[in-house]
Amino acid sequence: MRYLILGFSIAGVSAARQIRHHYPDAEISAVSEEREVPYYRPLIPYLTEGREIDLSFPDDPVNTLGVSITHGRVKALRSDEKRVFLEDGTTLEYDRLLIATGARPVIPPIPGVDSPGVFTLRSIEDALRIRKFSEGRDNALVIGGGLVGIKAAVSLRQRGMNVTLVEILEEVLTGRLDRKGAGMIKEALQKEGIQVRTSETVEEIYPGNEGIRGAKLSSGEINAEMAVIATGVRPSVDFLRDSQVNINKGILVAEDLSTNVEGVYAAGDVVELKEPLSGEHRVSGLWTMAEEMGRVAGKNMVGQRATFSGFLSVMNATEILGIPFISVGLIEGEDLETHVIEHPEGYRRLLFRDNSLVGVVLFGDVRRAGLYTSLIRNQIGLNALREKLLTGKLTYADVIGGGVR
Amino acid sequence: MNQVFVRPERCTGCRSCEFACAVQHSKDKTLLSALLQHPPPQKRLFVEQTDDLRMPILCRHCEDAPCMRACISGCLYRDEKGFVRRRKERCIGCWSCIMVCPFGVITRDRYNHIAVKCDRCHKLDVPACVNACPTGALVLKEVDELPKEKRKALMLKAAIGEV
Repeated sequence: MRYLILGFSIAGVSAARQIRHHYPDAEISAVSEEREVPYYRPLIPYLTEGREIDLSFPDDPVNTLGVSITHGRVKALRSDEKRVFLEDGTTLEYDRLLIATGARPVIPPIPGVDSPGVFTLRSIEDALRIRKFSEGRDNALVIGGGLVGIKAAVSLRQRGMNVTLVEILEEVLTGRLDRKGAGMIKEALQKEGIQVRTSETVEEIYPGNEGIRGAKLSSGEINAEMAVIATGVRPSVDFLRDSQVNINKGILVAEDLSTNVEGVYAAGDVVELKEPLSGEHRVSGLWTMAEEMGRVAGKNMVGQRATFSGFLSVMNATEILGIPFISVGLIEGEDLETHVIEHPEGYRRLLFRDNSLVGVVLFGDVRRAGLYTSLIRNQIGLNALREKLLTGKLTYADVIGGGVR
Repeated sequence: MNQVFVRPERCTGCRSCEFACAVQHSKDKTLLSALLQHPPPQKRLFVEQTDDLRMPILCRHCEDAPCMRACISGCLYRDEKGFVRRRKERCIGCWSCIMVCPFGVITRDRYNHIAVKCDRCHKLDVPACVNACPTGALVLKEVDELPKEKRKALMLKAAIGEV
């Protein structure tokens, strides 16, 4: 049996681990555009900052799992022939295929966006290019106030640059944090010396001699020698346009992560799935989800039965400028019973529907967050636990001792 | 592999285990130095109470450990003895492990900005918490030993007609 994995980041790696575990002798190959894979992609902002950091997987999956990697870009899939074509003319054959090509940055249609000096931050290569270009330059523009934009802004600020962060919406981190927390993060960014401009758009980027020379925002012009675009990502599915695989925004999969095409599976950021809590189709972009999906897909590819459940599009843990926060599940919703409990270090935001917890934001203090996560993902009936949640006294002893026995 | 088992019915909530844990993870591993150390050493297990229950909650070193899988920096790993441990230098303080640990036993070291968790006192034969427990609420057993005892007790009960 020949297993082929397109993309070898965490989803591909965790699938390969399963395949190798079941079939020590199977032929496992992977295709990757990036030479450095696999690596801890979420850490690339530290490279931009200039920190000495090892992004490699300590267990060296390529060698320990015996995966043969072909570097290149996938051009097309012919599932009737069970073949994958690369742009350089290489043809690869498979018996079982996993599509784990991840996502690519979305480039907004701003005049001048294709100028030299305008970057995205998605790969090691991107991060190193930004770091190199920032040397000897003073002013940077970051477009997009999501997690990537904020991390880019902070890392450039830490390199000593003047940074302007532009966000089109009213708050930063929309969808990842509620308004209250977003306002506090914005304040912290400003205190750090980053100019945060919300409800603002970039109308034009002015190309300069080397790099750019500035940009026109909706409120006026600014000087900048470089810009980082961080306006989100979308699944890398272009090569599937002429294939038989069903796609909407991402690849549509069943709960065993099989696609509509026999022998073809998909996992990670490239997948679009129904999120049980919201009832909506979502793309996740989360490392933890990609890891789980890869594992489930890998098991099914070797004929074991596994299902991927509890899919969430929000399950974020991070720390920005000394403020830790964790958001899980539905973090906003008019129809949800919402409680905000303040404490000296921040607050807890709890969102309930019927007898279960559907969302949480732990801001400033993230202690025991995993308890909340497991209540949300497993939709455990709360009963007596609700009171404990509200008072902040919930511990694992309550979970085994009462309420949900 | 041996495991630390908890017998809640024996726990009096004295917190000797928490204390011993903090001392064991202090620089000189003595009570005095632990008290004087700044920042203070952190415990890795927690005595929790409900209305009718008291018990230490500690890392289970899960066979399928969510913390290890969620780690985005290659910090958490399973050592040769089967314990889930940290490569401290790799931790970047993203708190993904805290987000997924269903037992809530991973915490922040806010001074060093890294995650803190039980290392099962991997250099000791008996973990400090077990050693310190005066009532036998924490016991170190081979994994399949305890169920065997329970099975025996159950069969005994069955034999005398209680089940």
